[in-house]
Amino acid sequence: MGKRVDYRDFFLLDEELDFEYKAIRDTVREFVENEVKPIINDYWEKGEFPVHLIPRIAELGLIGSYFPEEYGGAGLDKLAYGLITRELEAGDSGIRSFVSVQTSLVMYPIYAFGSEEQKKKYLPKLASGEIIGAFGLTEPDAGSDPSSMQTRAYRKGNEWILRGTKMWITNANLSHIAIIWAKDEEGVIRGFIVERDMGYETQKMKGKGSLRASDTGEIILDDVVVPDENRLPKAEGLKYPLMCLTHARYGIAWGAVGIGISLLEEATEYAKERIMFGSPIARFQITQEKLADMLTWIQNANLVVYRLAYLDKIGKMTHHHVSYAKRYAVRAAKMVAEKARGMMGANGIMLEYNAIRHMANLEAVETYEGTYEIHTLILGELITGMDAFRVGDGKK
Amino acid sequence: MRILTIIKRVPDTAANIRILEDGSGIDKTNLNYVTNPYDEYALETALRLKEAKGGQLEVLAVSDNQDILRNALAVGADKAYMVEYADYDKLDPYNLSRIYAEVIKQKGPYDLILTGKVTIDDNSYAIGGYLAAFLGLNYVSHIVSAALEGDELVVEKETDRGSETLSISMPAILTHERGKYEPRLPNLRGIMQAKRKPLDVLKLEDLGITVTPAYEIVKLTPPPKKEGGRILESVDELVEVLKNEIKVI
Ligand SMILES: Cc1cc2nc3c(=O)[nH]c(=O)nc-3n(C[C@H](O)[C@H](O)[C@H](O)COP(=O)(O)OP(=O)(O)OC[C@H]3O[C@@H](n4cnc5c(N)ncnc54)[C@H](O)[C@@H]3O)c2cc1C
Repeated sequence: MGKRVDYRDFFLLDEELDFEYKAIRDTVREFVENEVKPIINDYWEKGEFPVHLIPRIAELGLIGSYFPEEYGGAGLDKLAYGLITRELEAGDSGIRSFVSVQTSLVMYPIYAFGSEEQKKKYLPKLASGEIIGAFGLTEPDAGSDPSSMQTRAYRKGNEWILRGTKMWITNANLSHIAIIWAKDEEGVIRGFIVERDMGYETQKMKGKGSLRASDTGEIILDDVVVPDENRLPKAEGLKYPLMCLTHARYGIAWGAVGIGISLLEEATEYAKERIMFGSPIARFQITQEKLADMLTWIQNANLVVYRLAYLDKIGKMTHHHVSYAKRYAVRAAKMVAEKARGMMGANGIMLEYNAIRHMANLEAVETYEGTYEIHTLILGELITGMDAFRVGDGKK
Repeated sequence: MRILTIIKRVPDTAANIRILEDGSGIDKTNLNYVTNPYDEYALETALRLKEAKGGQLEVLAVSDNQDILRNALAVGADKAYMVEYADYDKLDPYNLSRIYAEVIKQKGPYDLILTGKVTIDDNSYAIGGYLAAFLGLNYVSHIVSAALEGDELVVEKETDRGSETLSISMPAILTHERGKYEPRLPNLRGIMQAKRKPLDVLKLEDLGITVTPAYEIVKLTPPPKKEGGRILESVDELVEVLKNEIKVI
């Protein structure tokens, strides 16, 4: 007799998890089923982030899970964080993005590069969702190459004057604080915790065709005065914002697996029910090949992210591993999305199902936190020892 | 106040149950288990009573797996007991209740005992009644909520004659209908704290009782398949069917 096989966890990776991890996974899964899925299409269509979920997300402990309890975290490891992001993104990339930014791009730099006072002042409130943070690195003319940023920080005694514009910033309009990366007069990149009432302005970026249930905006710094005590003391140089990205990308790779599993599940159900030419379309060999491919791509990605968590645990995870995983998992999810969407025919373009929303979201997910090409170049440099980011002298 | 909630581990309500070909039981490969849904409502009410008035909340299960007890600790129970019994899913309600009653006698006294009105695996509604009789407790079944007003325990239940509000003196046992409020999810902090809470594993020998099952499951057959719908060609045909076949118009 054939044994029942769970195609969502084909290699029984979740089966080996300790009770705590399974419980965390199930909590997030149920939260997504009961509180995210029923409302997400409406918010996506309206182009709004469902802010009413913030207190719930915080109450469940999903923000800052990997920081110590004294700073409002849950003292968990990166495996738990991975499971959280995987299950959240099975709901929607916008919800996962919110948690990624708040945790890995706002809390992490304060935790890792901040002073003890900064940690005590901001981390517990960020974890409880009382304050929302944003991470401002990208600018209109500095995307894949953040070292070309134009935002400047001028020192005036015990204060800094920040001038510049950040673009494509997640949570910008919701934010109470922003981690702003700017170059000082010597050209060294520094990080600042800028509070809303110090005077930064935000502008919602409308008309997105992807990640519509996430808040994206511009941050305008028009000579904003920031006290030196709000500078992140341990961050000097491009390496520091990139370290934040490594943590966020880790979660994105896990998230992409969540999307893939959700798509495979939906398309499989659909193919079994949909009758064409007298049979369920799942009976056709072409459909089965698609499903087998989808299963393979997404389970391979799941194996990769599990391994990543293990490497992190033993202290051997590098940013190269993370680039590999983000690049592969997001591409795998995109390939799955294309098949799933197609398999559902006209219904596949309807927001009532998940496929088209996930498919559209994946476009932003593939672009942010290092595009597919940028991760290709990171791996290319690792393999060849040759940096191909810049052509010739890097001038037009 | 000391409260005990009795919970049972049952196959996931959303799972597709497959019966073994020889009819000896269900196929348990990759089967997901959950807390009996009505027991979850009982636990939610117990948590609310504890939060309102303070006290100690304990949970009890007869099982070979601690997961549902750990979940109960994660949402806020203080202590758990598991009576180890491998074939708990086949045990009849009379003997199951004997085990529960013995634990209550040895670990109690409790002011209040809560459990689900029914366990969905064997569809037995018997536990509340047996325990009330064995332990001589006041008993209200099918409640939808419970609250303490002063020292008075006030419960609500839905009946055909309307919503009843009852006042009951403790010690008492209540069985829960689908509640007025949804059971909570454990949060991450609760899940981690659960690790440090006591979970006592008891054996039948420790309790000093022996169990002779009252019955055994001879054969399990799948429920009849739902018949597919029928597509009618015209309104006339529909009227014809409704009139002469189903006879509703
Ligand atoms: C929804 C959304 C949310 C975002 N949130 C944030 C945020 O919170 N904070 C933040 O700082 N940023 C955020 N970003 C910005 C994001 O990180 C950038 O969009 C990304 O880094 C790419 O930059 P760019 O859009 O300027 O593209 P460009 O850098 O202009 O790239 C355009 C294309 O050229 C390719 N390319 C670039 N360089 C090379 C090369 N050397 N070789 C080959 N190909 C190359 C790229 O791969 C890409 O395909 C967000 C973006 C989106 C879409």
